[in-house]
Amino acid sequence: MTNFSEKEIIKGLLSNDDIFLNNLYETFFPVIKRLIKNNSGTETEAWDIFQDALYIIFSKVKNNKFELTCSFNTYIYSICRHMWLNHLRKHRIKKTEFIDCGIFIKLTDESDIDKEHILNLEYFLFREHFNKLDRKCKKLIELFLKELSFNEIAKMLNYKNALDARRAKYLCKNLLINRIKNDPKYKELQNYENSK
Amino acid sequence: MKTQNNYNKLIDKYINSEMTGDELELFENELKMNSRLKAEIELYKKIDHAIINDGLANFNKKINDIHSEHTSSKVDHKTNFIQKNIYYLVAAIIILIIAIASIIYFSNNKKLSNTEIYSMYFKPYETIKKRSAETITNDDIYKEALHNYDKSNYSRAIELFSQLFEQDDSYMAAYLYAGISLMETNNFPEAEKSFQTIINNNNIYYIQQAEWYLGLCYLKVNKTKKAKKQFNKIISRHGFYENNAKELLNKL
Repeated sequence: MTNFSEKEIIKGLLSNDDIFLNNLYETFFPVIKRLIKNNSGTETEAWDIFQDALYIIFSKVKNNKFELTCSFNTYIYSICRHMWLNHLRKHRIKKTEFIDCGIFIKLTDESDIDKEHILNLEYFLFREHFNKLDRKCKKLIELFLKELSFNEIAKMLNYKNALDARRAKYLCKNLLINRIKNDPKYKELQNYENSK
Repeated sequence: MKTQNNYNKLIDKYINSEMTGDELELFENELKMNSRLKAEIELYKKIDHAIINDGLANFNKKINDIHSEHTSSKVDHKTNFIQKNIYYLVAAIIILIIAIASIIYFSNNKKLSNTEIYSMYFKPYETIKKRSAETITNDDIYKEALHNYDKSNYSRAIELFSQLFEQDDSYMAAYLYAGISLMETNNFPEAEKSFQTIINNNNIYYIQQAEWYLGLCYLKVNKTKKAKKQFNKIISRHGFYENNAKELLNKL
């Protein structure tokens, strides 16, 4: 199997190189698909696991925490295997024999991987709710986070004055936070995080 | 409700660094002791972080696009093929019916020829539309060559790839598309060389494709022993073409 060095992974992920990502997909997804299907999973579940593993690796690279102590083949296989075992445990799916189709190691940073996984799921959930806000609310929050003053924001978005813009920003943010807190998916993530 | 709102207002003020003096001191003291408040502040920060940083979201979009391209390419390919080649398809169906009838008539178990197997498995590699991070010195020639390749003008594509190699022989993607263009024009010895260049270069991006197409070249020119060896090599690597190679070997 084609292998990728640590340097190639970092370069490919940071540049979001299409050809690199395409090869990453073509090289590793078939093996992960076989692993999941061999062990009571479906192709869709295999894709979810593979994606989640890639998000973890991507986040590690972004945060300068990515370090290979084995081959990349073994690393990605081990992460997917660990995540699938978690999934089976969480859904109480009992399997008499786990069938492997690749080499794996015991990950030394299992708890980091689990934490990163939850953070990534939260990230997508937060963005999903943010994207559901109306256009003006989104723009208002974005401009505020880009550190524009309320005077500038008021001018750009046609609020009467800075105070009005500030009040609107507070209401938008509050709406976003309430929607997130009331989302059962968020509650589930919190429970999972607390159980770890 | 009012208390909750006041509480949120205070958090908002703190997050936005708008608290000063006694108010700030009181809030920070409360923060040290109140784990719920601490968690709330963390949530606010995480939400802001998710809004500002779109790196992971862009990455997610890219890999999902790749996955969709792979899962839908089989269907698209079939649809395009039917649309473009309806007459060929009708002819092919008639030939197929005659072939089946002949098989039944002669009642023998004749094996498929290498050429028949080749035509079952050979299809040009689809070009990747977006740009790679790899640099290339003469982008215009490369783009024109790819354009011709996409339009099935393989002879013109070969000319352009040759021009490109005179100036820059390091771009491995060009060797892949040149090799396939050479296969399309029945120049298998040159196609083999093109794929060997990628393999000798041990190029991680294109080695799997090069190995697969090299195997097909061997098959087409009846180097059956070499083809078998090549497909077994592909199987042992457990890569993208593993299943195709297994299937093909069963037919040989």
